[in-house]
Amino acid sequence: MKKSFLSMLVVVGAVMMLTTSCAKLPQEELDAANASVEAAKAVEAQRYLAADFNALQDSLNKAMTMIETQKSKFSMMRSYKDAKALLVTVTTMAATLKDDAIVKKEEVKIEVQNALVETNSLVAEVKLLIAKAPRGKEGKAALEAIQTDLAGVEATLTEVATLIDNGDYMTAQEKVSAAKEKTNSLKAELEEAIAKTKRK
Amino acid sequence: MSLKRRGKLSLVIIMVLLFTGGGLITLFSLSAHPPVESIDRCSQVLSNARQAEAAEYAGDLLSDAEIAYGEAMVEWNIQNTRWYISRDYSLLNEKIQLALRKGEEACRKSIAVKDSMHHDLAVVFKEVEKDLERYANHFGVLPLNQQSRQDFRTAEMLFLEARKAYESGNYNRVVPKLEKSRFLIGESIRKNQKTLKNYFANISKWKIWVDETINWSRANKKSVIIVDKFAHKCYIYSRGVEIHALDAEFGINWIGEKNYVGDKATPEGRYSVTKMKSKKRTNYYKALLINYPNEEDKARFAQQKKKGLISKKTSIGGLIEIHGGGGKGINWTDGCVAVSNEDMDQVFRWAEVGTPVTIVGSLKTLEEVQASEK
Repeated sequence: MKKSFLSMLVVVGAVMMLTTSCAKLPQEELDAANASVEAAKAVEAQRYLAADFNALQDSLNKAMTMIETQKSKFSMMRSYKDAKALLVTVTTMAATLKDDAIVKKEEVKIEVQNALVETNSLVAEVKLLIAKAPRGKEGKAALEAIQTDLAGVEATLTEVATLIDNGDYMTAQEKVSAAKEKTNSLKAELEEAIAKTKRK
Repeated sequence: MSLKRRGKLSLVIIMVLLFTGGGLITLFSLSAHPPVESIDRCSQVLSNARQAEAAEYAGDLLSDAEIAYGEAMVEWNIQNTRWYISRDYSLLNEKIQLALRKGEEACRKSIAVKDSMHHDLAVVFKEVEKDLERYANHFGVLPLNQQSRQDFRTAEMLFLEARKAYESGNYNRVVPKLEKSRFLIGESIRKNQKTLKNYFANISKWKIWVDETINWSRANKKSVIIVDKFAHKCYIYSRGVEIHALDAEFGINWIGEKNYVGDKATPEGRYSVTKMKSKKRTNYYKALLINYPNEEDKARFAQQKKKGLISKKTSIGGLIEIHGGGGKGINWTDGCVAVSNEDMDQVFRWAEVGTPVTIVGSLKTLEEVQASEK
């Protein structure tokens, strides 16, 4: 009698195991992946490497779907192996993306700083050309206009320096390119005027 | 335990296990299943929408889709904590369908908005570029308004920045820059055009003055001097026939009438030479003093003073001359008419005390002037 009761207990236990036991949720990996994605976001990866960040987001979503899909399954059938592997990949991807974004941001920063230096040199060249430019009829009026335009460029370059200091390299890039284009056109205008005078 | 009893017990255990297992399988197969396929599809749609820059161009729709997707995932998680048989994925399904719909709509809208912005902005760029050119051609060198010149420069820089953003496909960044550029240049053109129209309202009067002066020259077989400020010309007529068209320079505020001393404006009116100066009597090679202010200038000055437009202490000024020292290419005098020394010799040759000098804003209409500047 006692033995048959024990046997029944084993059976009930087995049934309980069958219905409740399951694979362990990869919570640690999930937390690590989420933290990694947030860290990538913090260095503006979504701005500087938008396509890569989108792919990372997709992978994280995919892992979440995999987890919930497993959770929907019959306990004994659950396996978080794939989800876990994907979460580890996401964590690695996010860490790489974070580093890449920092590098990219630095590249843009250097590019903008170089463009700023280049445009400042162009401004200096234009100032030298202004000194050489013909001052005859109409020339002086045109020179005055160029000087005021150059003052506008210099004001933009001051704005660019502030934007670089504030870390807004994308906006700085647009402004410095515009300033460079304008300065180049002023330079060309002056060079043409000087060349004309030499030909005369 | 006998072998028979042990066999019986084993059979019972097997039966119980089979029954439980079978029951559970039946229960599981009868319970609801999550719409995994739709969820995967939705995830893909959202990814596509993000790639299509829906966050930029269909932000509300993408946000709705992402919220619905997030809620669906939460609902899925909730249902997964329930006992198989009591799981209900209808709300999850509903949320996923909503996310799918909104995501697809966001993707479509983003692509359409980008296409339309690409096209529409190209048109606006052309319009603003035209306005910038128009400003540079018609108002760029005119002493109209310092603020307007500043606005033009700002508009030009904004235009260039907008073009950079357009070239890199950041259309949303283009819009505020281009709109501000268009507004600034549009306002500058409008204000300056209005100022010029008001100024050119005197064209009939100027034409009458010039015609009468030339007729007088013809009738009296004498020389006259006509100054056209807009054309920057000083004409010498003899016996009603133009014999010289000389380049002339004026005061920095040459558009408009001269109102008071030190306003750097060149007067408009009918005057005559009162004195001829040369050698040590002038700093500008040779000079013809004219009788500014005339009666009309005095009357206008008095009226403006009465209205409080001119301070009581300010005087009307004088010593307006046609003199040499010109050819600088800019308007630099305090209100006089300057020509080059060589040209001044011509002026001096043809002028005498009493020679009529008529100074007008323009001999052409504003439309004619602007058409010739194109």
